[in-house]
Amino acid sequence: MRKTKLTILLLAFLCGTVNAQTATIDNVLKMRSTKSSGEIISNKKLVGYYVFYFKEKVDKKNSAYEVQTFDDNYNPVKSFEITRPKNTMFVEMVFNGSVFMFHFYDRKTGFEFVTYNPNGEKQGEYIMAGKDLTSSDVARINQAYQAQTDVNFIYSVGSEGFMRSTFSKNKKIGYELIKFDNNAKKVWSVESPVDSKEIETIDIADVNENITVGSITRRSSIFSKSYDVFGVLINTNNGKIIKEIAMGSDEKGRRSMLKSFISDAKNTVTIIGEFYKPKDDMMKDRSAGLYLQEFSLEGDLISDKQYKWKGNFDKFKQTNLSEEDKKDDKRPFYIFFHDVIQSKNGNIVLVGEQYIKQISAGAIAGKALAGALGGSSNASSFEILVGNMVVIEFDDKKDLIGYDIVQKKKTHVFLPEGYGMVNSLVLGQIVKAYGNFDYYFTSSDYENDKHDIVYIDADRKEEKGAKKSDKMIGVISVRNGKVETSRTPLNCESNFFWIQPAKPGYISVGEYDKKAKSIDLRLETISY
Amino acid sequence: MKLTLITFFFILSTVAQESVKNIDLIRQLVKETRNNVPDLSNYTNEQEKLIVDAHKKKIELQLEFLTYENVITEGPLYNYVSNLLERIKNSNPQIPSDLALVISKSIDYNAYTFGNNLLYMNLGLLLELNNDDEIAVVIGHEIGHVIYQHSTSAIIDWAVAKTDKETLAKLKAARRSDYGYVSAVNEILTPRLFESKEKSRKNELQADSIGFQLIKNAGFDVNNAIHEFLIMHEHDLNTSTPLDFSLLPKIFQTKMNETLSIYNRYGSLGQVEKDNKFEPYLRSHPYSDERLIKLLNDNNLNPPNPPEKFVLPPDYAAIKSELIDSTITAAAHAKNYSWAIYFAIRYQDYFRSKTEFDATMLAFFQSLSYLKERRVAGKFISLQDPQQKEDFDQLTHFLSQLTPKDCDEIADAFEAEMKTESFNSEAWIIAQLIEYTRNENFENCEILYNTWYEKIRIGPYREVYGELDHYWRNVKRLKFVKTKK
Repeated sequence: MRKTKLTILLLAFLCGTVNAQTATIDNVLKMRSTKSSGEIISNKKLVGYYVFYFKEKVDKKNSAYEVQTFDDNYNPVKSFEITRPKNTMFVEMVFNGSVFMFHFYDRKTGFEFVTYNPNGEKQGEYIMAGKDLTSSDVARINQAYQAQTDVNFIYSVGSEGFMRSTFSKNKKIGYELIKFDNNAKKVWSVESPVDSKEIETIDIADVNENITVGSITRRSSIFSKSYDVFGVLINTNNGKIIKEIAMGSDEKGRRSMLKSFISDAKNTVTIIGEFYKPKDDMMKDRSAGLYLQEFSLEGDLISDKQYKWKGNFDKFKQTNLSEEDKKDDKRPFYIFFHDVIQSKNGNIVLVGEQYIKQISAGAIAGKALAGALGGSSNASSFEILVGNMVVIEFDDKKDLIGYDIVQKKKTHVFLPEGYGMVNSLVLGQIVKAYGNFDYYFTSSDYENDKHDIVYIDADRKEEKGAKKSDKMIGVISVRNGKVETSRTPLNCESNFFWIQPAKPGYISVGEYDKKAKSIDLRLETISY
Repeated sequence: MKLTLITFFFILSTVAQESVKNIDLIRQLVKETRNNVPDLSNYTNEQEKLIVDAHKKKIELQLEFLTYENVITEGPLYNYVSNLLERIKNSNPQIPSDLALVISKSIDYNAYTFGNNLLYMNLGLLLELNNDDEIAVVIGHEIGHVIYQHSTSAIIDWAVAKTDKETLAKLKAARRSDYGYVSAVNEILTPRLFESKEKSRKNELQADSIGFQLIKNAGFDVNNAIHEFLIMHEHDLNTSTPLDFSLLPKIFQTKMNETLSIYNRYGSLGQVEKDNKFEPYLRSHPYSDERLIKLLNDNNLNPPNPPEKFVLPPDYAAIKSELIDSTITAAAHAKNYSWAIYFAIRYQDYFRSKTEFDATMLAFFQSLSYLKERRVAGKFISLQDPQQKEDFDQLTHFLSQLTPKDCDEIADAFEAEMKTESFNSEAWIIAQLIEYTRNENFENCEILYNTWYEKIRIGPYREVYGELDHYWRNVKRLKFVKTKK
């Protein structure tokens, strides 16, 4: 189910309404989807919202924009003006508790990373000239823009800086991992060798003040089916690589890195991924199971455990499945892992969503119809069926203690022509990039050990025979390591409404009153 | 909550029918001022048109607002306040004889006039005042605006500014420029804005001054009246004496303390420096302490003592009970349970009986429990806001943190406090309806529904009733729910 961001407004002024249960934005003449508003995230927690909008042209080359920040209860906090080259694209904004880092993109001038303190005073900037940008870097921004999904390439490093990975123009495409301080000055950077004959990319999995966890992929060309992946632990203070972690081999079997997390309490890094049988191809073959590896911050392996789909996971077969899900249980669904949560008691909860590529009856019928009418359809004959949510639990000793299917209505994602030949792992990434999974967001309150994974259930009926609610929210709650699931109907007064992430424990419901030209935003508790 | 089948004798507020008559009279009074346009011979045709249109619009807006839903025009509370206006009128022949007032069902601390023959006094203001003198000073101030025709002069100033050729030329030039349009418009209009606000502040001082004189003439105690400015000053500063929870059930206090341990006055982005350097110039009213000092100096009065808990005059104590009823109903009708509960706790002494207070709290917490379960409580609980009074903000935080189970426990505690189980009120009915609905005892729901539908749908808990109605109709498909709300 596509989750479009709809939070922006033309000619909008947020009123600090007295006595109000909702934050009301008046004078909203038109709603449109844009990337000019979003959530302010600090240390994996939503702390507020921002609106970035055009104010006026300053001169031939520059325009003035206004940035308005709101706290997590929609109270206006600060509004300040920024002058930027005209046609500047606003990409991302991250808060690290001390300063905001803005990422701007301009076709001519390139990337600019600017920091402002909460009072709107500029702290510094870092420019990457347009000529140095790779097409991959620009493409991923454009793709996120078109799909209206969030761009999340900057990570806050405690309250002292930020980290960003970027592509670099080496002999072939390479990577550069940069740490900035609060004045947007480069503290250090790690780069792939300039003359490398391979394409090298880095994905950041988790960052804190001391350590950065990521994975590096090397392949000979963008279309190459064979590639090497290895994990990497980097000292966040100086950029030095602490440890390269081998991700298996053809002889011993390959490993992928799905998620990782740093435990501040235990001073360890846990890497979670899938493992494959020897000689199996990660891009083609199904994994044999999951593994969990734990390392010290110095990179020493503490534990390494494997759990097979057949032999370990199937012991937790669920009996309360619907007839349809029992049938589907035999289908070889892939799992796309959205999040991993470690509770204070050491339990680890992995949350994923099933998906499978299948022949699309609808697309084939459409093609036949288009052909009969003398036209053509550019839909693929394949589609992605997005299935149930999956919750996998491990205890503090890393023993598998639960494998649950959380039932929801299955949804279909139609693929454009040509995508039928793309392998399922990549298709999972594509479905994610276009926001077509039902998973919506994770609301985490690490201090109080409360985590809620929110997804949208296309089955909007509260119970059999009931009318459809406006929206059905599915919630997987993790409280002190214990998992509970619930479905929550949401009903709205307006025909034009949406939901969006909110502060930990809440979801925000927005309603647009077309007649009054106003938006009401309210907070509802996700789970009790 | 215990299920007790009870006999229903209701203390239901009297509504609609009788007041229709008076509300019609008041509407007629306003209609009659349609042609009361000042002499406009010194103004251009364009300005005259703007002024006349604005005047008509002002009347239309008032007529639209003057409905039973929005104002009180009958009953003991209305008569009480209205009599104070009559007393002032009787001693001051310069006051237009057709001047009347209505009580606006708004919980904001405010009173206002559109400049014609009607004054609006908000419930939220009356609730906080402690005696006739304090009410009189507010009425006097609003009469001052009417006497000096401040509203009309504001419209004229607006029309003159809107047709000022020099300003229009500057705005046109700014529009023609490709660059800096918004900044240029700000530069042109900001001085005008400052000017109009300054005039507005002067008008307020003028209204204070004459209002004070009017109430003096009518024999009100100005030393008492002056306390109203201290209450206003508290509003300026967003401070108040903290709510008193000591008489509430233990569980309420325990849960309140639990939530206060994680309360944060400022938002997630911390306390950010506010851009308030222009605030003094953009205010329509002077700061209350400035107004107070001017009145004290002009009238040779001694500074008043900080307000303490007043012993209400006997007549006014009965009116306070009426006020707390009406204000809580107004807040509940606005789906604002944060303020409804806040007022109930702050003015718990003004309830007719402790049992009535307990029943009210029982209904609110039972309702909140249900609304939280249905994930619609967000429509009923205020968002936290550091600009609000701290005790209100803390209560809001508390209400939003409570789980349905917490609300049930608090509701049970209030029920246990009630002196008699057979106390009957709308509060009790709604609590029962929720109880029956949650227990899927739809037979009893149907009995209550059929018996009291007409009363509850206009009573203080009508919004919760609306949510119940939605559930019965859409989820349970109940046939006894026939009429759409």
